[in-house]
Amino acid sequence: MIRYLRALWAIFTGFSAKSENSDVVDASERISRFVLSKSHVSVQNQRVKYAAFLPPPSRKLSAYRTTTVEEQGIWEIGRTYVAAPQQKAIRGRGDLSANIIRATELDVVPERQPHKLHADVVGWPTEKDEQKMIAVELANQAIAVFPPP
Amino acid sequence: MTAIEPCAGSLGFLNGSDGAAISDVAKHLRNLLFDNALPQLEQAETWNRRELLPANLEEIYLECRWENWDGYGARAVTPSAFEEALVLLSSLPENIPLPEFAGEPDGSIGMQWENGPNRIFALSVSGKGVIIYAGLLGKASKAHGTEVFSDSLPTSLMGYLHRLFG
Repeated sequence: MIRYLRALWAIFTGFSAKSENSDVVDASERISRFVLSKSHVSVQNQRVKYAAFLPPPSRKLSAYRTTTVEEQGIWEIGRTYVAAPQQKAIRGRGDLSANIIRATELDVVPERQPHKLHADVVGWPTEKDEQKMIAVELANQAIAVFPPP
Repeated sequence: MTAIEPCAGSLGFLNGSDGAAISDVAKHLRNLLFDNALPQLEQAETWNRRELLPANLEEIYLECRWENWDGYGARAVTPSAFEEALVLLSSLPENIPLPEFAGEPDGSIGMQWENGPNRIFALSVSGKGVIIYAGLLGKASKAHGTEVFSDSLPTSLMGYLHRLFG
């Protein structure tokens, strides 16, 4: 089922593996934000909360370009490059298209460390209430995905 | 078989089918149940939900009181942020649904309400007497800003919450 959905995603977005190596993130690419805090997911409501999309003090929100990666591979990236270095477990992830992120006036740029598919969501305003507004908008559109048991 | 008969009789008495005297007792019990016990039970349920909330909030605090609790370099949630969240919580009117809590990367405690697509309201406190809020109140309506917090939820924020659930 997931494979089928991915194929559909690729068909509708016209995304190819080639563009994943590009220095420009395509508008159709899926961007995944991994969540390590229990407080940032609502399993009961099947949601990733807005707080998961608030930027850190550096104002670079860490994410991954996952359009061409199989579901199992996405979790593997999350476990290896996000959770393991922090000695934490993955609680879920929020998926958004780059297009949705850019509609909030943010941008997604490749930042190939610690993984070639790593990217930063940048362009955050400095005021906290403006950051919160954008985080709420992203949470509103994000698709919550939870790790297999 | 004979042991079952009294049970059948007692079911009948609830329906008032065992004669006027028993029916009066049934009426009295029914009144007690529906006029007194059930409303009290409902009140107790509400009370319990409110009582559980500080426990949920405490759970968030316990998870987020360390540096880097989110794995992305978040600052620790402070005791003063926790205490302020408790005060704010106690000032919420009963007709506002209960929020979900979350730690924020700058060490604030956030509260989130949702009422379907495009209807999310979030606010946070950090122990400094300020509430920072943002909300989607429908497809074409949003609001964000900062309010001073002194023991009660500002009326402007109350208005947004009523709009969210209106």
